[in-house]
Amino acid sequence: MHRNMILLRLARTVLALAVLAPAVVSRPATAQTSGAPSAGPEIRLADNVFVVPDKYAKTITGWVVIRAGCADEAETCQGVAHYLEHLLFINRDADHKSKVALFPSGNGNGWTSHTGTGYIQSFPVQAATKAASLDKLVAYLAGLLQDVRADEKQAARERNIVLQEHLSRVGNSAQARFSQKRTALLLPDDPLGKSVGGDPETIKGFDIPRAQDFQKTWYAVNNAAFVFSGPLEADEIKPLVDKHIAPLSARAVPPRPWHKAASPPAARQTLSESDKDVKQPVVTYDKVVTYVEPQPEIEQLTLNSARSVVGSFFASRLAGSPLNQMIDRSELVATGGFSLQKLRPGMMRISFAGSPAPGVTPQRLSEAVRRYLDTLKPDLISAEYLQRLKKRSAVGRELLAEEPSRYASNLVSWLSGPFDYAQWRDRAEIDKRLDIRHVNLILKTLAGPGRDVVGLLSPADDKTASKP
Amino acid sequence: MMKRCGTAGIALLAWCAPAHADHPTRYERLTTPGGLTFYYRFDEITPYAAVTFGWPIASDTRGREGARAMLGPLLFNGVYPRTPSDFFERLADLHASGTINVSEAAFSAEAKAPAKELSAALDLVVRALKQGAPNERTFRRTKANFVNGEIQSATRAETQVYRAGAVMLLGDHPITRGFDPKRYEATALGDIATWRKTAFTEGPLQIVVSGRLAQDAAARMIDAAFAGWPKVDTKVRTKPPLVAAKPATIAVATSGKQSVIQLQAPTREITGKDIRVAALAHAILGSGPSSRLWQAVRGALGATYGASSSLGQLGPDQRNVSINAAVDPAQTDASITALRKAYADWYDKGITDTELRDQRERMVTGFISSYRDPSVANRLILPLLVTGRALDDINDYEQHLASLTVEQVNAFIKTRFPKPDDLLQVVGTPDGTTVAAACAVKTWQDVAKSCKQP
Repeated sequence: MHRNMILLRLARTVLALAVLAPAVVSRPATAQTSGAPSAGPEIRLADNVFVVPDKYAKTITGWVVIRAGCADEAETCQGVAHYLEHLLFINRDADHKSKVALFPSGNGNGWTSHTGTGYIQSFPVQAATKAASLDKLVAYLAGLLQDVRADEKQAARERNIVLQEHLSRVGNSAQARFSQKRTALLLPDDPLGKSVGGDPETIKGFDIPRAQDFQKTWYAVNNAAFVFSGPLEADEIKPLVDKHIAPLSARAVPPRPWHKAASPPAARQTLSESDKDVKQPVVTYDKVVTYVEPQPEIEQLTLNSARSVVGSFFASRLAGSPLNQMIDRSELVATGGFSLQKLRPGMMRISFAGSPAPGVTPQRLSEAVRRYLDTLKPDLISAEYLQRLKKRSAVGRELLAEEPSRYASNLVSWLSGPFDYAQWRDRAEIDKRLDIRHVNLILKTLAGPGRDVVGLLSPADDKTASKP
Repeated sequence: MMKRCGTAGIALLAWCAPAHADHPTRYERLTTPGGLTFYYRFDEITPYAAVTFGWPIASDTRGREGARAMLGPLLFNGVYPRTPSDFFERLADLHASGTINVSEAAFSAEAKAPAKELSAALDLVVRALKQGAPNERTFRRTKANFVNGEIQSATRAETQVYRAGAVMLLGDHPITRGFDPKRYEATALGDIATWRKTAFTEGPLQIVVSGRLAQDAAARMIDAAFAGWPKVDTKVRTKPPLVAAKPATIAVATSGKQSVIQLQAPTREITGKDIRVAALAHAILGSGPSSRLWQAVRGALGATYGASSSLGQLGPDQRNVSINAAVDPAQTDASITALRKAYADWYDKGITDTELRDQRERMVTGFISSYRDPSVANRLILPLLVTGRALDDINDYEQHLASLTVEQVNAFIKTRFPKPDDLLQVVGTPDGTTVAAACAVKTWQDVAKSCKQP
């Protein structure tokens, strides 16, 4: 499954993870075979191979994450990365006839975002077949980096499936269509402003050679990460990594141009639309701001942590938070929420989506949201609140370390995003450095100059709606 | 509990520490010092604990069906009248979650938290139930959310097709009456107090606790939280009559860019453990990418992103098979044919040994894995207790599935699932697409007056 939905979920997970930052957690008794320290229960078998032992699990799960998504396509976000994800499920196993799940009694799936692509397979563990199934799993995930096995007929069928997926997610949803338009207005000429899966016109142009080109360019073993979780030990999987993953040749991967895309010109815009399929007015607000990443690198990482704390505050209903102001105090919002994410080095995006409370016009709500952001003051988040949020993070990290299954999923989400493993590993230490200065710097940046879009999506018969 | 034991030194001093081979799967029935009955499962592996409780309830007041869904948000927003956000932030500080769920037949609520915080989290949830009283403005805002949400959800083609089918199949029924957003609008703030007086006392309270919480601590927590809970009499719910199949064909104009196909019909009576057999057989038909429906329409035709089937509840002992796919409009007829053929083959020829083996393994793995999360485990147990079934009903899950043969499952399909010719067919068509149908309507609301009962 591709998906803006998945991307959103990943972004939220990354945000949440960064907020649920680590406290000191106990290390597993197993030796670190790569010699590098880990953040929690994971064992790092190689630079890009991790095992999260979960001895009480009934299944073994394997993931491979490729650090390339639609933003890395030659002509960005036509949807080729997503099409390739679909093609790679085809003809990989003669026994099970190329079903999405590699194992007949297991589960499988995939996802594509702007910046990453991932695949997951799992199987129930039976003592008699465990070794063979594990070998099959590792071989399968490694094989995804090597070739496309679909024939022309299958490729044509998959093209229509991708189109149906697009229609199902976007074509049938007024809100999803509107979301694409406002993101495009917010990030013009930027791959991160485009739809991950392409559109009906670009989908028509998909073929096997284009998918293979993307695979050859980006699906390098040195641009991928493997994670395995379940009732297994490092010495069970190490020989399989040596057998299937280690022989894959590393190769040069191009620089990712979108990583340093130019800042969009500052502007204040409004996108107002009406739609017959909309019955409840929707108000959105998006703003991107740019900033200079501080030096040394540890300061950048601390700023990331501060951004996560601010994101957590914005999602909360603590006194002074936007939801507290707009729901509990001025009663402008019926339902809604904020999110804050790092798009790329030196760029953040803050977003709001909600519906106005009874008797409140969409315009009034949108003005309140914009005014709140414009007038953010340092010390909005008190030292007491900072400690409270940091404590939540620390406890969350401790709990996560006791849940290997969830821990492995979150590690995969992290590796799918714009961060690397070292940042995951070191977050406990980074959080200790975080103080109110970092938080205030984030607040100041958010209140500063940037590019924003107010979105007003109204029912077609709503006289307050106007064409853009 | 298993013990991990060893020896130290020449004195062979034994040491034994608790060790766990697995998450336990058995609950035991216990009584608190205060005389309350609860079901308990200790699990040292998870860092969490959860308490889940509930009781059976009767139907809603006519004209307000479904309004009970608002109860959770209203009560949670009404515990602290001055600053309702305190409730949510206190839960967040505890790393806890609180839920209130009101279904057609039961009320349930839950607190889940790291074990040492569970008592505080439960106190918050119970306080919301006993005292939650939102102010007028919070009430209006919550009501508006539900009304608007209902109206918005009705714009989706899948919802429109589902409702057209439900109106045809069920006629005037609590489920179809629930489609009317007026049921929310008709609700007043005073209804909460009325609801608390009636629904809170309709059936016996059932309490389930599991996780890393010692038995005596669980008992104390329950006594503290539920002391003084209203004493109640058990009311016997009237068993609704079984719904009959309505094999009509309906076309309804829908929004969106795809044709939406739904084929549905009620099962015959399915009681007790037989629901497992139904679930196993049905999963082979339409659950997930390996299912027959998925393979027929996506795998063979490439006409859809996914095809599936659900086994929804019509009453305590009856389910509704509902096959669904949103497809390429140009492949509408071919998709209907493929879905019908897949169902007919499944019904007439049954499942295979290989399918039974694979699905059984998937279900047993999923079932045992449910016990990793105390909240999920509790939710397996509570519905049994609320509907008056024995706890033992769940204890033989793995053995029961292991004992099933292909012949038994196929005989079950033939005697309990609807015949292929009994499927009600509803197709939602976007602009410009036509399909053959005995009744064609512009909106799902037109079905009641425009489509004749077969």
